[in-house]
Amino acid sequence: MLEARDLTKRYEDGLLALDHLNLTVDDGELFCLLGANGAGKTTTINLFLDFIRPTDGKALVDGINVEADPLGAKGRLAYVSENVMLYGSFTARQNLEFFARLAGQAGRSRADYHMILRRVGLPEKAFEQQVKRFSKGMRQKVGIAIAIVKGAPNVLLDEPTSGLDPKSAAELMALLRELRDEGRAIFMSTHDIFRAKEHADRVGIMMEGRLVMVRTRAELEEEDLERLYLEYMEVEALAL
Amino acid sequence: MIWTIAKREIAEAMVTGRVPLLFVLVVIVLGTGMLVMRNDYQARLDAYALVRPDGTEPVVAVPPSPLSVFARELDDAMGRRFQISAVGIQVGETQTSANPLFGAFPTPDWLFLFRVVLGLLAFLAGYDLICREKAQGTLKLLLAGGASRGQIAAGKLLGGWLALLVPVALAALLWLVLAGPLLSLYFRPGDGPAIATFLGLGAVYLTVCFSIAAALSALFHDQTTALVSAVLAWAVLVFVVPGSGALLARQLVPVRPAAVVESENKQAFGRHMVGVFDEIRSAGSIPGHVEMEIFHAGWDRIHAEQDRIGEQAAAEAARLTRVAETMGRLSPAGAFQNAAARVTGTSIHDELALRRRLVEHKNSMLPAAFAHATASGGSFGEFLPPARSLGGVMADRRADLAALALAAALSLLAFFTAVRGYDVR
Repeated sequence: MLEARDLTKRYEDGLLALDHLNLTVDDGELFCLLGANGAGKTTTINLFLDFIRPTDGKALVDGINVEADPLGAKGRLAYVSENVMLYGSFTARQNLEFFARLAGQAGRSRADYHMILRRVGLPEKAFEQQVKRFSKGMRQKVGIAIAIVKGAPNVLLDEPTSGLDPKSAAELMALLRELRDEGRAIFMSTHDIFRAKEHADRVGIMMEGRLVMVRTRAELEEEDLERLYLEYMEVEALAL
Repeated sequence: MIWTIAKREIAEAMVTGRVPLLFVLVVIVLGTGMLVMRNDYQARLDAYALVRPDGTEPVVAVPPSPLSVFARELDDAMGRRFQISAVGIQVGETQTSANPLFGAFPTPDWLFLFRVVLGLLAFLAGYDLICREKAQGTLKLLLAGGASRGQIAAGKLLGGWLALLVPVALAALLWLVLAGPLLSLYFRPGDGPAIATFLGLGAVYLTVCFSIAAALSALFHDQTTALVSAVLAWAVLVFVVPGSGALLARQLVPVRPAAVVESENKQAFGRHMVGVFDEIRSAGSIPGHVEMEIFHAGWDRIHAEQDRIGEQAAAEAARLTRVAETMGRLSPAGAFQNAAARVTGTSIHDELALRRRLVEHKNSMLPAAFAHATASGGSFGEFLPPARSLGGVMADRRADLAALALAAALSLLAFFTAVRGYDVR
């Protein structure tokens, strides 16, 4: 479970990137966070990963305060960035093995790693190929495989479908649904309104560091998410 | 965790060809240096064979040291032919290799190669240790992977350090093994510990260079900026600081030129000889043995004053050296040079010790030398070079060892501090 309690971040230049964010992503839930560039989505993820320290408030991972115990929190988190970058001179399996060992998951066989790569839909012939020539979609799949091999109960994804072709994006979302169904809490920032509406259990909209709207899947069946999003963006544009 | 990260670092250096390339490069560099220095050593050895004292003349000549392959320094000057006579010690020609290139270029001994060339390679091996991860986009994934920043820093540092030191060590060992069969360069039975200590100091020096570069890699986010900073730091630490130290020391410590010392010696000789002749003349008609006694007393005064002049010159040189070394050890390159040259026994301290020993030797054999000068023959004792032990040398060089250790500690502290505060966004 991921929790943000009055989570606030003001950068050294005075920019208020996140303003008292209160949010919970339960186990077995897929939460999608929408928002324009600079709304605070990536800042939220960076705070959960202890890449930056909060000005105020707390980020909790399964009840562990990230600021107080960053290693304990990161041990229960997996992260997939917008553009998963791997060690190019290593094969997909070697990358997976390295990050598994880093997460304390040593002792797996080559077949185990192949099985995970197979599960995320990476072509069989790519398992033992250097990843430097992988497409973005293939690298994203290896990124998901790393999240799986870590066995973390919480997954953070920063615009993972950005730049992916529709087939790859659909495959990625199907994987995320699988992970959610396994009971993991999944927090995903995205610009992809349609996939958010289609796959998320809840969707939030963030504006200027504030979470201005949260809707459940059931509520979104009655409302037009795209219209809501655009309305908020218009409000933001007027405010500017 | 640390070893996992280190292994990945090593594996990447192997796969990308950095380690094999480094090994080949170091083999070529050290091999070339050893070949050139072996030829230089051999030429001086041949020259020594021509001037080697046979016991019939009051001559001292120290054979060149095979350790000059590692640090030639003043081995050339120490290997001169010293003629001892009633008028003092005349310094003869050097056992020069007659290699004119040594006048135009730095001597490519291993000290130079470690200090300059391998030092640069160490900087190049470490300059992008952290910022490369940021540039290739793997830093966030690494930091999110479950290891602390300290563990990541330690793992990357250990891996990068091994990827640097192991090829260098293998290349050095290869040439030590091949030196005899391939280059006919044979070391003396007692040289092993000195060689091992020299290489150990080299490893510490390269570690410091690598750590400084690693710290720079964690201070900058851009690889180009880190590279430029690393090269600049290398130039300052290897050339500017030690060079400025020597230059400043010359300004701060007055040292009489050798020509002035020589002139003072001649003046002392002339003054005392005039005194001797005045004494004989004023004594009127005196027996031959009394005249000889006056002469001997005069010679004693000449030698006493010349020895005093020599001691003063040696003290000035020692003061200058101390100041230059103190300033030089502000840089790890200077500290390494100070310590390594002393280990091989070719430093200015060793030359000064040799000079002191020569004076002692001269005074002990003066009667025989005097007799030789008066064509009465004589037997000349064997010259025993100053005794030195590696333990004593290391104790003498503790300031340099402390400077190297401090530089290593500070650069590692800077590295770990910079990684802790590294902005990964």
